[in-house]
Amino acid sequence: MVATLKNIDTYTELLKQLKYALYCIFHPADGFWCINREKRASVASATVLLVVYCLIEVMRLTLTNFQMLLVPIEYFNAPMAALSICVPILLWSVANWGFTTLFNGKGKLSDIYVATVYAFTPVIICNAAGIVISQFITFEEGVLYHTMLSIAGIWAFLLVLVAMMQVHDYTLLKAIATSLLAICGIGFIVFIFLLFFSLVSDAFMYFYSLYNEIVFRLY
Amino acid sequence: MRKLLAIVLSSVLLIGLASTVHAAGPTNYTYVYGFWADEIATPDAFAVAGMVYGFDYGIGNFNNPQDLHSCKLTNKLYIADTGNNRIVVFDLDESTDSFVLNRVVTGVYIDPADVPVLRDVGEVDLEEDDEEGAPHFDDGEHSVDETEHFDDDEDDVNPQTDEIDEQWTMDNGQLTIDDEDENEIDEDGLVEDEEFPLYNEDGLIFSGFNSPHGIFVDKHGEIFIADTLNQRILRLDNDFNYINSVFRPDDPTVVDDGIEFLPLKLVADFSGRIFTQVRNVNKGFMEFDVDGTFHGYMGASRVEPRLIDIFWKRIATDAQRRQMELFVPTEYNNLSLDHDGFVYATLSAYSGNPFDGVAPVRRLNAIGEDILIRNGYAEPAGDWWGGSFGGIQGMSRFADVTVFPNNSYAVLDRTRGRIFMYDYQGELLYVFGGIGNTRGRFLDVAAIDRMGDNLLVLDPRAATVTRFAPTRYGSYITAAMDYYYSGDYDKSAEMWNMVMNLNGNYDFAYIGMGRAALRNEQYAEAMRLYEIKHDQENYGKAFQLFRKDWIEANITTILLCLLVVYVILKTLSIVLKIRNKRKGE
Repeated sequence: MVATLKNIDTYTELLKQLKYALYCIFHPADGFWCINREKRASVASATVLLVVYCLIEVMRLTLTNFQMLLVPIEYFNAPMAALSICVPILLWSVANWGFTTLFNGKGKLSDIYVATVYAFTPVIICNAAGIVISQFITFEEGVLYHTMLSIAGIWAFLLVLVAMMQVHDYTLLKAIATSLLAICGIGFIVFIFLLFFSLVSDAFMYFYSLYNEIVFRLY
Repeated sequence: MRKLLAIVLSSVLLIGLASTVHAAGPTNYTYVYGFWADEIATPDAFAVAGMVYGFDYGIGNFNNPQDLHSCKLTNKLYIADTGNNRIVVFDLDESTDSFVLNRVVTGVYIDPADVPVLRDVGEVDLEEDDEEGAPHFDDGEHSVDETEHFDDDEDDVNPQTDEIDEQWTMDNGQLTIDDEDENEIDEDGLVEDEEFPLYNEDGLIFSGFNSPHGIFVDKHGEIFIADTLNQRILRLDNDFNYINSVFRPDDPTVVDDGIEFLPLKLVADFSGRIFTQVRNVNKGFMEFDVDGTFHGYMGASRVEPRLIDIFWKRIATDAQRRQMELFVPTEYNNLSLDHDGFVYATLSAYSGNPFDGVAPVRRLNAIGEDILIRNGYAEPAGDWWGGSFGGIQGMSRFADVTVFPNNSYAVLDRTRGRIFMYDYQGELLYVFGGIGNTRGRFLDVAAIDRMGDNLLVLDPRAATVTRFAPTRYGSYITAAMDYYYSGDYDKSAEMWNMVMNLNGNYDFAYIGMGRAALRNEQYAEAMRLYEIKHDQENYGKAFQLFRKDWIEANITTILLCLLVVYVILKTLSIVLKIRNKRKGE
C-alpha cells in the first residue's frame, strides 16, 4: 500500500483517469462503455472526483457572490453541505446496484459508483466556473449564471442515464425503468435507516431508564 | 425564491424564537421581521402619549365606539360613539398636548323631507364575526322607528351643544344639560319632550343618530356620518349643520332588493365622491356623489377559483354543490383616504396563504384597481405566521388603515391588536401594540387614524382612544422616509444614520444609506451597505456602476495585460511547435 502510494506512476495513472472524465462527458456512449471494461477509471479516481465535487459544493455555497446565491451563512454547515452531495450518490449506487443485479445488469457496485461520479463532471466544472463568473456579473446578468448551472444539471442527468445504459448494457427504456426503481429504493433505504435509528434510540432509552431506576434505588 | 427560502428557513427557526417573542417590561414590544424572516426586536417607534376616556370629560364612557377621524386642519378628533348613538368631538389643545371636549352631537336638524324611510332589516349584527367575544351591537332597545318620533324617554339626550362650558350632568348614565333656558322656542304641540324641541326655528326636524358606525371629515371640513341603522349617510357642514343625506339607491337594476343599505365606514374624496362600505355588500364600495346620486360599485375583489375547485365543481352532484363553499368576493371592512385621494382598503379575510390572491391591504385607484406597491420581503399582510401564543391564534385580520403623507401606512390588526407600519414600498418598518390591559395595548381594536405624526387607536371594548406619539427612533425613521420622498437623499441618509445609531440591526437603515451612497456615486460604500442587507437587486445596480468605473479607470492596464498574455501564449505555442518539429525529425 505504502509502496503504491510512493510510486510516482500511481499519480500519473490517477491523473490520466481523472482526465478521462473530460472524454466521458463529451463522448458518453463510448466513454462510459470503456470506463470499467478497459479500466479507464478506478474507484480511487472516482473518489478523488467526489471529494473535489464536495469541496466545490462547499465553495459554491460560501464563495459565490451573494447576488446569485443567498446562503444564511450564520447557519451554514460545511460537512452537511458535503454530505448532501456524497450521501445521495452513495445511496444511488447501492440502490441501483441492488435492482440492476436482479435485472441482468452487467455493472458491479464499484462500476456504478465510478460511472455516476464521472457523470457529474459537468456539474463540478460549471459550479467551479460559476464561482468565478459570479464575481464579475451583476444581478440582472445572473440569468447567465443560472442558465449555465441548469444546463450543467440537465447534462449530468442525461449522462447518468447513458452511464447506466452503458455500464449495465441496457436499452434506454430499461435504464430509465431501473433508475426509477433505484429512486424508490433510495426512499426505502432511508426509511429503513430512520426506523433503525429510532428503534435503536428507543432501545437505548429503555436501558438507560432501567439503569437510572436501579441507580436511584441503590442510593 | 428569496421569500420561499426565507419562509422555509424561518419555519425551522420559529421553534427557537417562539420562547423569546414577548419581552415583558415597561416599554411596548416593538419588532420587525428580518431578511431571514426572523423576528428582530427594535426600539419603540411609538410611545403612548395619552388616553381618552369618555368618563374623564363627564360625558359618560363611550359605548362600543366604532370609528374615529381626526382632522389636522381643525385639530379636531371625531369619535363615532356607536353604542351611545352620538358623535363626540374633541379639540387638541396643543399647549397642554391633550384633548379638550368640544361637543357631543346626538342628532341633527334635517329637512322634514329627508326623514329616512326605513326598510325593515330585521335583527342585525353589525360587528364582524369575532370568536374572541368582542362586543356585539345590541339593538334591542333602540328600535329603528323610535328615531323618527324621538319620543323615547331613554333617549333623553341633548340635541346639540355648541358650548363646552355648559354644565354636564349624569342622569342614569345618560347625559342631560342642566340648562333651563334651553327651551326658548314656542311649544306648539309638536314638541313632546320638554327638554328640547323636535323642530327648530327654521322648521327643520330633529333626527337623532342611530348607531353611527363611521365618520369622515373631508378637506373642506364637511362631515360625513354613516348613520347605520337610520340607513343613511349624513352630510353636514363643519358646524354639524345639515346639508343633505344619501339614501339607498332606489334602482333595482343596480342594487338587489335583498341588499340593505347599512353603511358602516366611509370616506369622501376631493372630487366629491363618497365611498362607503355597506354591510353585506361584496361588490366593493358603493360610490355616491355628495348629492346622493349612486354611481356604482368600486373596487370589487376578483374571485379566482383554483383549477382544482373548478374540477370538483364539475363532477359534483347538485346536492354536493349546494354544500360547497361559495366563491364570493370578500367584503372590505374598512377604508381610508390618502393625501393623493386614493382609497386604502382593508379586508379581514386573509388566510395566511400569500398565493390565494387575497390582498388584505389595497390601494384603489379611481377605477378600483389595486395599485399598492408590494416590494417588501413579504406581502403587507401583518404577521408572517399565526402561531398560537397566549390563547390567540390565526393570521392577522386587519381592521383599519391610515396613510401618512409620505405614503407609509399603518394597518391595525384585530387578531393581536398590533399596528403594522409599512413604507410606501410595502416594507414592514415596525410592529407594536398588542392585546392586553396595559397602556399601549388594546382589548379590541376598531379604528386607527393619524393626527399629524401621532397615531390614534380606538378600542371599542375598553372604550378608549389611545394616542401614540413617535419616539426619537420613530421620528428619525419617518423623517428619513419624508426626506427620501421629497427627494432630499443626503438628508435622508443622515436620518438613516441616526436610526442606525439607535438600532444597528435595522435593515432599512442600511438600505437607506446605501441608496444615498449610490446616488452620491460612492459605489463601493453602497455595495458594502447593500451586502449587509442582502439586497441583491440594488447591489447589482451599484456593482454594475462600480464595474463600469473600474474598467474605465483601468482600461489601459487591462488591455496591456491581455496583450502580454496573448504574446506569451503565442510565443509558447511557437516554441512548442518548433520543439515538436525537432522531436519529429
